[in-house]
Amino acid sequence: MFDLLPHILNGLTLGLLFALIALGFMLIVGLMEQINLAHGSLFALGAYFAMQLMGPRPPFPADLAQSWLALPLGWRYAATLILAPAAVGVVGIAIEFCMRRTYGKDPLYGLLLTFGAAMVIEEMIRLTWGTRDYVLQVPQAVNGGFIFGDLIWSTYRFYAAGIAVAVIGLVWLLIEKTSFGATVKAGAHDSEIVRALGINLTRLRLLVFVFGTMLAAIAGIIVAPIWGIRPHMGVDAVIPAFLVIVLGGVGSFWGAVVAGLLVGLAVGLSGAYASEWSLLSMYVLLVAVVTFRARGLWGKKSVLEA
Amino acid sequence: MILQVEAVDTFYGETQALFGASLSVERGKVFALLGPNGAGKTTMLRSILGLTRPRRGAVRFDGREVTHSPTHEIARGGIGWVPDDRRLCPTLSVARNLGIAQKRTKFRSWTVKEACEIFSPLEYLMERECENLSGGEMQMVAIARALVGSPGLILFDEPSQGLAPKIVGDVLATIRRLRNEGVASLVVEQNAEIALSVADQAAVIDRGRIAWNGDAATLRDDRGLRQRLLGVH
Repeated sequence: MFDLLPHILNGLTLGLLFALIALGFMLIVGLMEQINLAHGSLFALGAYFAMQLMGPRPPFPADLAQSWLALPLGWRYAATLILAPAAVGVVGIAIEFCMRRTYGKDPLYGLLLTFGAAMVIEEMIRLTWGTRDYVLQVPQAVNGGFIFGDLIWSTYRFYAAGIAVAVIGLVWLLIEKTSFGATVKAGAHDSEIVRALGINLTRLRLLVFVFGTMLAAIAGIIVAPIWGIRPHMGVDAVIPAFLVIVLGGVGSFWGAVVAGLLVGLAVGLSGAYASEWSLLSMYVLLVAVVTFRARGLWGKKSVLEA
Repeated sequence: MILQVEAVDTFYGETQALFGASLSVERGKVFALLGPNGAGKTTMLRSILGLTRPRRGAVRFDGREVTHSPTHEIARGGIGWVPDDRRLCPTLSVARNLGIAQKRTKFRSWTVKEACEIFSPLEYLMERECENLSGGEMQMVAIARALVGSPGLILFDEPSQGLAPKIVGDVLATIRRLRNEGVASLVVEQNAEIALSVADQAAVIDRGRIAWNGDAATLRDDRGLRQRLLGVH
């Protein structure tokens, strides 16, 4: 049992990351009934933007770049955590503008459109940064490892899990405890009445979508130092995100979080016994869930079941 | 006039639902729009709110043409809506349903507290989720939701539908009370007797056309006219 502890901890931290990756995806599917297949590509884009900002050639004019590079690493990292998601948010605005015409129609249109957007973003990444792997620099404080018991633990994993918990908590507060969240929920339930109450639904949907894309970017930045940065990382992220959403039940906030932890544990524990099977276990789980319970564990209804 | 609807033609796809329909509601007065099911009463309300946009004609609210304004701007001008099926958000509490509807207009502002003074039971229902309310309670919340939006005019769609007589009485008393506070109402009803008991002005709509328009008292007192326009009663 005690031998398993590192694997369980590993699985739980991984699960929190899965939940973090799924968060923006969940927000958009739960509140707008749109499946944003570009989520993974926006996740990757967040990581690339962050890498560019943290790297030796930041995307600024020469003198600004000099003063930027003169800042301590920790400061640059903190600023990057805001700047990179903001830049991805701008891409989100563009996608939302294209998506407007699909609202209220078959979700398939939005799905196809975002699939197209995903392809475009991934190719743009290849064109801009090529196919090589990159590494995202992180501040010394969250780098390296520490010894606990007889084992060496990675500091970054715990930092990443902590950020995941914080972001999940903040998003929960926003959608459950604020008037903004209530308005967004009411808008997903009945768009006409919300407009007739004097609420600008067009702007509200834009805000939700952009917020969802920014969450994708944050997840990308946090996960990048663990998984590495390469063009395909988006696809690697969108599958677990999809699994977590479906398993948790579309629109169920805590369902997604619990499902994230479950998937993380499944991957972590199967990794303990047969590491080559651990990724496969996730895909098998996805197929099984969609086959037997597409509404997930806590879902009331699912976009998939219509 | 707080509301003027001028010769609107409204369509659902290719099916025309309103044919040159006009009506005007005076400031602070109650207007009853009567007619059988499918005559175009709800379509009139949807045309006013821009939810189903008229293809021809004009809608003027508070002296401003709103025919082509987005729905949320029309609402922000000071029009409240109490739909026939209430349309509360079922997963949100009463307090949240009212909270998201609060806004300021040029008309008298209503706080949630003031709305609760009209419907005293609301005070105890605040934390209840709307899916767990009775029909009468939902109607109270729907009216309170329109009120906290500080309207100059409230559109009531079949306010008596599916309610017990006692509650219908409460709803009518509320419409009268709002009238005293200067809030105008446009009440759409199949039940002419109920609507005429509170109305100053009235119109009868039949297959998308306004068939009669005048003082509510005339229609209330003239049994023969009522029979001719509305069949029974």
